[in-house]
Amino acid sequence: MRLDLEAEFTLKQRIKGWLIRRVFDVIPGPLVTMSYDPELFGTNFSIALQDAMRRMRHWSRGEVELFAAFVSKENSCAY
Amino acid sequence: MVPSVMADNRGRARERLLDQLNNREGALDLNLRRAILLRAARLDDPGDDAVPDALRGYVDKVARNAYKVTDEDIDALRERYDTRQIYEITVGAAVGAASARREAALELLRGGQR
Repeated sequence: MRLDLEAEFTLKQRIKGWLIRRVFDVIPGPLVTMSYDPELFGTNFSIALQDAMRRMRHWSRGEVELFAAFVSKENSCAY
Repeated sequence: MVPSVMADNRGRARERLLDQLNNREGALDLNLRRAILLRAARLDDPGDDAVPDALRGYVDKVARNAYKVTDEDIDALRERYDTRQIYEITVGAAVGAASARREAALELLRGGQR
């Protein structure tokens, strides 16, 4: 079985998770991973990810998204 | 927050992420976490290092072929590590590999050879 990170969520994280499920029916895996330990990983990774995806100087936003989709496909990743 | 401060924060987020993984106390021994980061960053041939034999296969798989990780891989880790430790191992391997790939890509853009 894969890691059940949600089982170790704090009350605050569980409430956030409940709200997300109310809207989207599911909490996406990357969001669970980033929420589990925001100080060690989630907060800075999220900012760095946005930085990489949105601050490209030579590619358009669409080109960045297309390349990211291609890399995900090559890695058999659904996200 | 002032936009210039936000921009500065974004630029340093990757550095802060690596700093946290290398220096922040967690469930995993810091030296082990650092060893995992280093091993995952050696994309071609990690060789021998401070990562225990029981972890090498998993770290290498996350670094190079994460899509091949199976439930059985996680179950094998559970015999020695708890959920939080496995999380730190996985995140360390993923970030180590990602950082190495980023550097390789930047080197190519600078006109260097990999």
